[in-house]
Amino acid sequence: MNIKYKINSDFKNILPVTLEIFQKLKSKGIKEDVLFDVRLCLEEAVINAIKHGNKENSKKQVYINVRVVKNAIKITVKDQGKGFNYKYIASPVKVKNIKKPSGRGIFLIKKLMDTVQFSDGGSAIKMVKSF
Amino acid sequence: MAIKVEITAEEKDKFLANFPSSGTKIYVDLNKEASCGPNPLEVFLGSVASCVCVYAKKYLTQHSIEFKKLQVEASAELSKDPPTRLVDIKIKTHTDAKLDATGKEVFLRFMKNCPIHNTVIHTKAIEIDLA
Repeated sequence: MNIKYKINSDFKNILPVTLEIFQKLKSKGIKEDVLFDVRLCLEEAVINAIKHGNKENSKKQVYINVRVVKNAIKITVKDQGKGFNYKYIASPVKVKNIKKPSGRGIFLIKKLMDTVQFSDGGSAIKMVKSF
Repeated sequence: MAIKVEITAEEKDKFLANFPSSGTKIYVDLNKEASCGPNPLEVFLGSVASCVCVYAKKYLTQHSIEFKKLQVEASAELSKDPPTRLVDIKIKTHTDAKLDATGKEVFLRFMKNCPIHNTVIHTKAIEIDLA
């Protein structure tokens, strides 16, 4: 299974596309319990791409690639932004960041997915979830 | 720097809770007849519910999901057996936000990742000492 999506940077596009991906993955017999986490992480990654990557510029695109390889779901989300220094992501659990809304998405993704990697200068995130 | 809260015993059943980082002070009170604030158990439940509510609003807002109502209700029972503690803690989120069936589960999982819920689930011991 290898599916690709391209969506405009509008938050309203997130739920329809993630639901469609959820259903396609479910049709492959993958357990819902795994897919709920995958959908949540996918949503968070797309939100980050729209908000921080494409700066909510609706003319810019977010590219989503979902592959199922053996017993793993491999997802790449890429935006058209300038990227960021992913080696210095502010920890949302530090007191100085506790009231800042940013950083929690990546924290959540790292908690729920098995592998998380950034590439293309931080404008792409690759996530893997085994099932 | 850690998050700090100072509680000072005042007259009768009144306790002043000082939250230095936000400059906020509230009274915690055990007096049932002439109470001037919540009791500690209510503060705890309020903390869980408010954190879940913050996360619920964050999820709905960042997905551009419209809602007019968002209310989180927390309830618990006092244990009948020792040690004295809260049991049967229930958190219910009431919202008119439109979510598909799997979206509701994803929304729930997002809320369950709020810091207070994570703290309750993962804390096995709290250090209590004399200064």
